[in-house]
Amino acid sequence: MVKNIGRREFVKVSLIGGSLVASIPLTSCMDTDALPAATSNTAGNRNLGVFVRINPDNTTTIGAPTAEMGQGTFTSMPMIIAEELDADWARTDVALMPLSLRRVSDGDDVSDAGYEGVDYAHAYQGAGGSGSVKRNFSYLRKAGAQVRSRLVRAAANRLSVPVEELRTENSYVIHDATDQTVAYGELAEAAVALADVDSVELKHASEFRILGKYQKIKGCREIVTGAMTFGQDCELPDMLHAVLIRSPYFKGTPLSFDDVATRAVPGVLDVIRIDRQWPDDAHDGEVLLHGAVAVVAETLWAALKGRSALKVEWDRGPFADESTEMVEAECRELLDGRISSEADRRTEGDVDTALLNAERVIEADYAIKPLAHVCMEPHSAIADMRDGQRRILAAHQFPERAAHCAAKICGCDPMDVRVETARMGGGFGRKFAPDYLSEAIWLSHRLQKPVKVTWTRDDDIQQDAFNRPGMSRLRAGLDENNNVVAWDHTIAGHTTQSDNFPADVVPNFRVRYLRSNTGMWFGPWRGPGHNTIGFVIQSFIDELALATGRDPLEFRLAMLGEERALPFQGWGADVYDTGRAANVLKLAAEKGDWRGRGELPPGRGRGIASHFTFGSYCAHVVDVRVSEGELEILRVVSAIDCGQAINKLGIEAQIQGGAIDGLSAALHQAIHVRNGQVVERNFDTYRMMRIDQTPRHMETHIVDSDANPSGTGEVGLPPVIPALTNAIYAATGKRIRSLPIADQLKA
Amino acid sequence: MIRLVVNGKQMQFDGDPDMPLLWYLREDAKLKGTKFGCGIGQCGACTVHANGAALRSCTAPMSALDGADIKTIEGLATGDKLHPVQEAWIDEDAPQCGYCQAGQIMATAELLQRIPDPSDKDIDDNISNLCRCGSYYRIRKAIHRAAKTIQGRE
Ligand code: FES
Ligand code: FES
Repeated sequence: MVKNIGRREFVKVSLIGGSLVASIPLTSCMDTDALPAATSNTAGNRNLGVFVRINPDNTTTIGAPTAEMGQGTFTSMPMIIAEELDADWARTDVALMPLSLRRVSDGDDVSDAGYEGVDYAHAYQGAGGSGSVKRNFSYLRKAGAQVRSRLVRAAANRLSVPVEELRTENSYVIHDATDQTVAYGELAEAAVALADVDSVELKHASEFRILGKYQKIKGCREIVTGAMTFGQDCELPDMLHAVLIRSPYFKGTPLSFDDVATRAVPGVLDVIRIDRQWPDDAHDGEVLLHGAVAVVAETLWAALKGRSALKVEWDRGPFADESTEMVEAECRELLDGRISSEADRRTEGDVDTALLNAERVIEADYAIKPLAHVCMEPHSAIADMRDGQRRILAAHQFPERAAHCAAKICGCDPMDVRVETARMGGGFGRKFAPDYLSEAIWLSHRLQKPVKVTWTRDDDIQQDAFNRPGMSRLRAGLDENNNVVAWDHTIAGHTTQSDNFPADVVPNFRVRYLRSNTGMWFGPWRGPGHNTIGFVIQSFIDELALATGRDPLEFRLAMLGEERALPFQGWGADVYDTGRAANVLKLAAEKGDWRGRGELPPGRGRGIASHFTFGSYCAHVVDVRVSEGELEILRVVSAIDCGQAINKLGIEAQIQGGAIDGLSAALHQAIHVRNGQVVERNFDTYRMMRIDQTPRHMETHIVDSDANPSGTGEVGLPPVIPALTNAIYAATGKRIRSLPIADQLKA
Repeated sequence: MIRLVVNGKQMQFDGDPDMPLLWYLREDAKLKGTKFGCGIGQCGACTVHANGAALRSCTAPMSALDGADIKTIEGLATGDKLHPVQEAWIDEDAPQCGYCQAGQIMATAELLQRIPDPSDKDIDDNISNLCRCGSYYRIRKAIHRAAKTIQGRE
C-alpha cells in the first residue's frame, strides 16, 4: 500500500434519494434527477467536481471529467476511480461531466488551461496531447479512495469491527472473520454522515482488479442502438439553426452579398454578415470568427437551402493568389538559399566541422503536404446567450474555451457560463479551436435566442486548421565505423517537434527552421508535428542504415546506445528513456519476425520504425506487397510502452486506430491550394482509407510497466508511416520521400 | 403528401420534397442515430435500409420515398433484443468515437442478408463506410462474428 496524503474536504458527500452522492466538491443544489449528461439540464450543478454516485441497488455512477472523442476516456477515467473505490465495474455507469471552473488569482497553482482568472475546478477537463489520463491519474485515484474509506468506516461502525479487519470487493465491504458482507448501497446513508480522512491509502499496482485489464468501452450499447448523443444530435427548445458561408480565401471577409433568393426560402429568418475577427496573436480561449455570412432559419434544411441560394462577394484578403506550387517553390528556395544562423532552432556540438570531417555524408530531402482533420462528425455548437441562460452545448475538446469566448462576446463572467460537452464524433485536435463555438455564441448573443450552428463537410475541409506541411533537408555525417556523428536538419515550411530522437544521442546536432509564407491556418492534428517529423526522421535513418549496409533495427539500437534517461527538450514529456525506446523496437521486431524478413518472396517487404510521442514509446513492423504498382498493406505488428496500462483493450484500439489513420493519411491524403482556395471539399477528393485497404492482420503488444501512465491516442500514428514507407523500400527499392504516396509506385 | 413507414410506423411528410431523407429522419422524426458525415454518398454514416436495401439517406430526396419502408439504427433491435450485428459490435468492442458505427452496422446487417457468410473479399467489396478513428480491423472481426451468430441460430 502506498500512503498518500489527500486534501482536506477532498470529497463532499450527500445523501440524495437514498443514494450516496460524492462530488469533489459538490454544490448544495445537486438534483439527482438531473444527473450530468450531455443533454440533460444541469442547471445549478455548475460546480460539480469529480462525481461518484452509489445507488441503493448497489450500482455506481461515475462522472467522466474529460469529453470522449474516441480516445476512450469515457471508460478509462472512471476506471481509475472505480479501481480505488473497489466498485463493481460491470454495474458501473458513466456520465459525462459538465465544465466546472474555479476562480484563480496570481500566484495560484494553475494548469495550462488556466487563464484570465479561471481554471478547471477539479479534474483537468481538456482532452489533448494524449494527456487526459496522465494529468488526472493521481487525482482520480485519491477521489475513489476517499469514497471507499467512508464506506469502510461506515461498515466498521455497523458491524462493530475494526476498520483494519475489513476489505472491499465489487461494491461490497467484507468481514472475512465473521463472513459478513455489506453492500455499498446499504452504507450510503451512514457514509454520508462521516467526515473525510486526511490521508488515504492507494493500491499497489499488483492489487489492481480493473486497471491494466481488457475492459470494453462504456456506452457501447447506446452507440450500437443509435441512442448515444453526439454534438450534432443536441438540441435546445426553440433554438434557431444557422449555417454559414465562410470566406473561401484565407483571411478573407465578406464585401457584399445578395440574399434575395435566400430570404425567399421558406423558414429562412435572417441573413447576417460576420466580420472576420481573428487577432494575429490569438491566444487560448480567444474569439475566432471567420469572415462569413450566416443564414439563420427555423430548420436546418431551410438554412442549408437558403445558403445555397446566397451570393457573396469577398474581400479576398492578402493570400488570394496562393497555390500549392507557390508555397512549395518558396520552401525549395529557402532550402537552397543562404541560410543564416538566425534560423537555428537548436544546436549541439559543431555540426559543420563534424560534417566536414565525416567519412561520409548522406543527404536527402523530404516533403509533406497539409492534411485536413475530417473528424467523421462535422462541427456544431449550440449557444444560448440570453441573460440568465448563458449556456453552451457542444462537442469540444477544451470546454473552458467556450466559457472564455462567451465571456468576451457577451461581456459576462466565464464562471457564469454553463458548458456541457457532448460526445465528439472524433476530435483529432480540430475540436480544440474555438471558431465554431464563437459563431454560435456570437449569433445567439446578437439574436437573443438559442442558436445551433452546423457545419457541413465542405465547411469542415475548407476551413480546417490544417496539419502543418513542410520540406526537410537532412544531412548526416558518418564516421569510419558507420556511426552517425552529425545530424543536420533544415525545415522549410511549418513542421515542428524536431526535438525528438536522434536529438540528444547524436553529438553534433542541429535543427533549423525556415518559415514559409502562407495564409493557411494550422492546428494540432493527431500527433501534431510528430506525425510528420516521425516520417522524416525514421525514413532517413532507414536510408542511413541501408547505405552503410547495416540492419535497420540494429542500426537504430546502436544509435540509442546504452539505457539512460535523457532530459527531453520538446513538449509533452520531461524524459526520453533510450532503454524504453529500444525495448519497444525489440518487442515489435520479435513479434513481427523482423529476422525472418530475408525469406520474404519477391514483391514483399517488411519495414520497422519507432517514435516517441507525448511520453509514450511506440514501434511498428509493417509488411507490404507491391505488385505492378499496387500496394497492399498486409500486416502491422505494434509495440507500445505507455507506462502503467489503464485499459488494455482501449490501448489496442488506439494503437490500431492510430496506425490505420496514419496509413490512410500516407496513402492518399493531401490538401492543395489553387487561386487562394482549398481545392478539396469532400471525401471524393480527400480520400480516406476504407476497410478494403486495411491490413488483414494487426497485433498490439503492450509493455508491462508501472511507470506513470502516459497517453495512447496519438502515439500509434507517427511511427506507422515510416514503417510503411520503409517496407515499401524493402519490397521495391523505391524510397518514398514525399507524402502522400498517391501513385508514386505506379511510375 | 409523401407517405412512408419508418421503423414500422406510418409517417406522412408534406414539406420540401427536395429534402434528403437524412434530414427528415434527424430533424423531423428526431431519429438522431442516423448520422451526417458528407452529404454526397461517400462516407456511409447515414446508411439506413429502404425496402430492405442499404441506402445512403443523405442522397435520397423525400420525393423519391413515397411508399418506402425505412428502417434506421433505432429500429434494428427487436425490443430489448439486439440484432446479432449490434451484439457482435459490442463483443468486439468495435466503436471508438462511435459516430460512423450506426452506418457501419446498418451496412453490415444488409450485407449479411445478401451474403450470410461473407469472405474477407466480400467484405472489402461491399462495405465502404468510412471511419476516421480507424476501427476497421475490429469491424471486420465483428462482421465475421455476427455472420457466425446468425448462422448458428438458423
Ligand atoms: S452522409 Fe451520407 S454518405 Fe456520407
Ligand atoms: S468510430 Fe469514430 S469514425 Fe468510426
